[in-house]
Amino acid sequence: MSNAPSTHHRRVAWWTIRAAVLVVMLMLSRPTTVAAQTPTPPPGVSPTGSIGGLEAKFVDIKGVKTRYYEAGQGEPMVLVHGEGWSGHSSANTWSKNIPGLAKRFHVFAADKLASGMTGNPLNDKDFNIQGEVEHMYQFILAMKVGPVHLVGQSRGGGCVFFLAYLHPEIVKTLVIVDTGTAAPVVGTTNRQAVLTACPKEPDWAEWSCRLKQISFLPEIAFDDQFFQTGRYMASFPKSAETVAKRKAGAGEPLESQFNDWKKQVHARVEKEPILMMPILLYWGKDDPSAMLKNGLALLDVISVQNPNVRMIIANNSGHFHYREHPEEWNRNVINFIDYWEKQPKALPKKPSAAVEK
Amino acid sequence: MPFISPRVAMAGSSDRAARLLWSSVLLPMVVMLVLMAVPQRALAATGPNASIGGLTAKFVDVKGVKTRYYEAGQGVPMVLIHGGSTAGSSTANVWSRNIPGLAKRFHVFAVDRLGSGLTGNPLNDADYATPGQVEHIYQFIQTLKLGKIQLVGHSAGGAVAFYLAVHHPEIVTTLTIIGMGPENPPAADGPSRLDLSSCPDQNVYEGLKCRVEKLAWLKTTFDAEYWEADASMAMQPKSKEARAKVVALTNDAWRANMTAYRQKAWDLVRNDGVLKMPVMIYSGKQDVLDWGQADPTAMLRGELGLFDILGAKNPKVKMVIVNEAGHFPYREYPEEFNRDLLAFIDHFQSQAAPATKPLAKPAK
Repeated sequence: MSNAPSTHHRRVAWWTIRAAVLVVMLMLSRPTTVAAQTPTPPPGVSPTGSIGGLEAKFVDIKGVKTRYYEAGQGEPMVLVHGEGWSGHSSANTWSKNIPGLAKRFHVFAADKLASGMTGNPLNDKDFNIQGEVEHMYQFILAMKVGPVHLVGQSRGGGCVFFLAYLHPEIVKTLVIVDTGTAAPVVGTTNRQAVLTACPKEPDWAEWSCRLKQISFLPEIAFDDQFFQTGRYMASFPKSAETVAKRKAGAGEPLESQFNDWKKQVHARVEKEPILMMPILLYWGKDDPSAMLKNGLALLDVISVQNPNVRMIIANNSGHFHYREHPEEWNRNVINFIDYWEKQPKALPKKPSAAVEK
Repeated sequence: MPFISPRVAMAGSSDRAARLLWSSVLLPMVVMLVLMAVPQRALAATGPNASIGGLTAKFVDVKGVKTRYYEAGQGVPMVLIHGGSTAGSSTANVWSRNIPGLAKRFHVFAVDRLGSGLTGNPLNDADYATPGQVEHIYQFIQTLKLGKIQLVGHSAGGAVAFYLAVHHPEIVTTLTIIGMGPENPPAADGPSRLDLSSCPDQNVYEGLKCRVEKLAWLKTTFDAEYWEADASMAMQPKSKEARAKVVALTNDAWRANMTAYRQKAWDLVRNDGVLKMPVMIYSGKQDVLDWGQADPTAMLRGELGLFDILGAKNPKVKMVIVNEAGHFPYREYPEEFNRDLLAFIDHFQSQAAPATKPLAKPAK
């Protein structure tokens, strides 16, 4: 055939074109939106971000997929973690305490709104502590366990303080651990000073450095798996979305009005018998971030109306002393709850005032 | 026995005299006899040896000094040391609400300090000073062969306990100091909220009693039974003698000796870290002794300062603050204090090795 070479060329060309079209189609069919990607956990990291021999599960809370741990039997106890608005901060912080507490309580520890592997708020206006409080409140209601023993640390201490203020009827006892969020502002803290050595990026490196810097016994408090798991949870697309939304001003105006709101709440707590459940403030003496002076100021606020307030100050203890001394921490919390469970509801509020305030 | 009306029984011309005798002498006697037969709260049921709270105090000779103490329970020995100045207004009776509960877990000893309560006065004047007090407690422990003890001290008794632990750490398993015992440098600045202006002079018992009442926060901290026993001990001739002695002995040299003794103990703690046993500092938030006059609420500077010093070299220090509680939180909330004390002791008993692995930390 005289045109055989051109047929061959045409066939090659067609196949080339088909192959090119196929490749282009394959490329176009790959998910291009960040939200559709699910990261693969590195070896040794659980796909549900679970650590400490625990296994996290998920529940829908008013449309927000919420990750949480549940363990043990007995009276319900809810643990609320600190920091927030990031994939790396999560209920994993309670991993060293949950097993011990579960011998005595029905323990719940959930990732807050937009933290850990819990989803973002459906509404941009909920990217603030009020949103976190409402989400945690709805989580408690969804568990259908009635009033709970409520425990929170750092920003989670803020969360439980405001939750108890807004919904005291579901809080049996309240334990507040090392929080600047709930406390009156008292001068400056040493936080910035201890963080100068930390890199600003990447996120997980800044975070792991920061946690170690504000600890007293960082090697005891944290291990590599803890940080790698946090890093994994922060790599989820929804975590990047959280950061982007917050940067773009989600959560306003309540977010920037927080300090004013806190002052109003403190004023009301001092004047009216609102926060009247037994309350334990539990502070690490060596915490450079939520310093003891802030805890003592918070004690002053709560103590005006509420006689059933106690404070424990632990030595050689940093921001995460419940991880540094887990058995001692558990024992102190259990002892506090055990005592107040046996007390009659009505205790004398105050003797005839000995001093003017 | 049928009651015969005196009017019926004594009829006639001597009627008025008889009625006078009855109304002014016999009737009151009858009333008194009836009242004595019926137990009354107003007549407090203080036991022998100024015992209260249903407890029974007894005596032991400690190096020639007859020493009053309470003993209850079995198990690991625990020694409770009361506060106040010598023959002031505190004795082992101050622990009356705690002893029964603690005795369920410990072999409890609450002792009257040298010269206080019904314990005899020191044989030598020099022993009126704190080192003499400390030595007396140490010898009490040796005399009764208690071995290693759980040690609890309140206020000035907290100071005694502190010094005992510093100089004899081998016999102190845990140390609990209530209401800021040893004056720690620096003590809280300026005058405290303790207002003695309405109290009689501190050189008389009524003044000391008034001071103690002002240190309590709740009205129920001390009752009639407590004060009756307290007064009976404070008004003993040997107690008045002791108070007078202390006044006579306290001069500049005396004070200088005390300062040196205190300073040496603090140096041992700060520099040599001799206090290694678990320590609990227990405070009432409304303790006027640690409440600066100018402060709206008690800042507890003294107790927090104590924590700073003890905690610098000892990881096993813990502080508890109790709201609506004054200088006697253990008496105002006895069940809670007992429970807190047990939890503190139990935790550290269960620790085979130190709970913490101190790492080199950069100086703050």
